Amino acid sequence: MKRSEFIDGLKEVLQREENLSEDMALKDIGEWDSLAVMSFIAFCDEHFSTQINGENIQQCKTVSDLIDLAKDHLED
Amino acid sequence: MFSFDHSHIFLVTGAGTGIGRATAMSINALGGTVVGVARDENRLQSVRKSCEKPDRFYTQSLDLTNNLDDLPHWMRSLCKKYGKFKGMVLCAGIQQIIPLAALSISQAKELFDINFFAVLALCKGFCDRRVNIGKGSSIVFISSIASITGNSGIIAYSASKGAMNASVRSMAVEMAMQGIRVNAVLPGFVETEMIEKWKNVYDAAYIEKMRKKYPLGLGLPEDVANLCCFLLSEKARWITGQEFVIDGGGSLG
Repeated sequence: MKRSEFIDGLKEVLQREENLSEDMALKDIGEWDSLAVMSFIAFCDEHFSTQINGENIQQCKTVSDLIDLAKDHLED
Repeated sequence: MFSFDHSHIFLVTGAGTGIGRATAMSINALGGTVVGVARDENRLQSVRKSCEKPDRFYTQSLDLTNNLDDLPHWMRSLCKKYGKFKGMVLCAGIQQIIPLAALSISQAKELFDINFFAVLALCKGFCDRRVNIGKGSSIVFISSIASITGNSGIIAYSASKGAMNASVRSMAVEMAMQGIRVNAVLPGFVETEMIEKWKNVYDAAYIEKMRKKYPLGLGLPEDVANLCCFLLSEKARWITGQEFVIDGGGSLG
């Protein structure tokens, strides 16, 4: 999966109309709530067969940080 | 009493016949806009013509089981066409009367596809923030009294409706954050076309037996439609995750 596809996937997870950019702060994204976190974990499990740790997600401050969690599965 | 505004858009599945038809027409009569879904476009057009406000009734002919995974995307496309939905009533379903000895798993799966998995997929579509209006949204499942009582020949049917009831409670909790209410209506024996389809089973003698069993007599689709409209309305704003039996007292005896 390309980084851009990952960001599109994240947009779907968030059910968001507006585009996301890598430097966006998660706290500024209204759709980023506890259900979105669960959906994000399910998204990574479905596409990368990897269980993202909830504590690691809590450390994330930006969209870019979320991408970093999946970077081993993403193409440059 | 309550009413709807023309900007209140409701999706009703199974809108071509029975409870779905009556619910779609009741919402329309109360002022709401309906997107009616059924397999048969001719039946939908007939419902449209019978509506008080035909210009507020849109038709979508579709077999919901054709591509279950695509239903959430289809809901988004409807939203782009008509606007965000305030509510949804899920009436589409089939009944099978097959004793366990004759029941095949593929028949049971076919039943679950329309009675439960299509419902789940439509709810996934509806609960997308881009599809519903948020606070004030309401989903009503048409379950059945068969989900909480016992009868021969309807094991798969009652299980599919039981699955629906169980999902209502968790869905209600999960969707409360978005302001979406979710409830199930469990009708008893209602005289609909589905009964007509099974008239070799539901013969005159059986219907007479049912009449005697129901203290308030057998129900009409409109009786169930009235409850659905109430649950869709703001008057039901504090009601979620519940099952409502509506059966003229039939389950009391």
